Amino acid sequence: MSTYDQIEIEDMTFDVETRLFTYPCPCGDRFEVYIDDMFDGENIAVCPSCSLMIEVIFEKEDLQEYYEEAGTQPPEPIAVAA
Amino acid sequence: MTRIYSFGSNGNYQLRPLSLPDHLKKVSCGGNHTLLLLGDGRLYGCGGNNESQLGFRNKEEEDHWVEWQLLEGIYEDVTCGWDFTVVIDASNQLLARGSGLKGELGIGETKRSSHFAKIMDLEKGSKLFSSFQNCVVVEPYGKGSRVLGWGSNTKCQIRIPKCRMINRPYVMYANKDTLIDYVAMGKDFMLMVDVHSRIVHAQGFLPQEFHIQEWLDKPVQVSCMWSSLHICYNRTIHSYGNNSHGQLYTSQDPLEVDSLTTGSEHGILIHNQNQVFSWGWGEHGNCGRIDGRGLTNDYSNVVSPLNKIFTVDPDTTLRIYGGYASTWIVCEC
Repeated sequence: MSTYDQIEIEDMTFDVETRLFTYPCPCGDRFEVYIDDMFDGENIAVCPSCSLMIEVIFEKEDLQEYYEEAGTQPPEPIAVAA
Repeated sequence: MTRIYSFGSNGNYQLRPLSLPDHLKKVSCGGNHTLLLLGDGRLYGCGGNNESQLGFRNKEEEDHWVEWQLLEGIYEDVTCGWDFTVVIDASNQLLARGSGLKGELGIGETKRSSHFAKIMDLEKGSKLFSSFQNCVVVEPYGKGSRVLGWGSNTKCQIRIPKCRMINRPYVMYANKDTLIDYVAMGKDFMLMVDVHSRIVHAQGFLPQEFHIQEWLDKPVQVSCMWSSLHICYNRTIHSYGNNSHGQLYTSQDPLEVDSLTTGSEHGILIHNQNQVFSWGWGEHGNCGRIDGRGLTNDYSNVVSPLNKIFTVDPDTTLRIYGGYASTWIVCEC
């Protein structure tokens, strides 16, 4: 599976209600991926309107602050690297 | 007579044909909206209005402008980003509306505005340019120019060191003797080109293979897709950056290029004054129909080779503009 581009998590927008990370797609729609899927290891965000996909660059511990922003906790505690 | 043709991504009514008796100064495309600036300063808009990027939206039915509508006021310049619009009005005020979560409105902490909010006053003769998450204004400064930018700064596209956003205009460049003609902007980088067609400054996360020193003394035309940059020199195109969908220009037969522009991830050129070619990511039909294929989209156009899409009579003046997976051709005769 080849992706169109690599995007760092800090460049994406996180919506606390939909729990989606999104990023503009060159077609005018937005790439999206659920935070829980990222917690499970998914690093590909897809566009609902075209075939393009991006690879999201992140570490699992990056997700903690976004879970907190959404007022929830990760499905299981994230081990923080020493 | 001006005729405006467009094709490509049209999910929010952002492509509308139009014929006008007037001179057209500029087409500017946002993520899902389009604005046309006429020679007399009138501004027409169509497409997505979910963030009031075109006009005040007070109910859901106003999420789209399905036909061209005139905006109130007279304008000197316009540029569109993802879901925001920036203009210079007839009094040389810099104004912005729509949504700018990364500071794209340039009005400080405020991230949304349903009307044109004032950023600052400008010198007469200022010009606007944008990418989907950044905006710059080129302002007369002595006998030269200064360039102010704002929006996302995660790749140092506005200034060093990096930061998440810059939400007010920041002076990126100032030289009283160098007159900047335009700024070519990718997603994470930009290049300033002076009135002698020389690249004078480049900033941000540039494609690795691009070395500005190789180009400083050469007269060029520069245009950027989101993730690649393209330089027209000696009537051919040199490309740098992301080639995941054929964005980097290649030509089997040498084609003499008159002028070049780019959409989000596709390129458009004029050859021999009357022919338009396109290449790159063409999934939405924005690179035209591929020879031998039917009207149904079979995804053969996702990566489009250099493709002739339009020819006009020699007495017609052609101009080209690129949008978000859309191609715009303006014919004046």
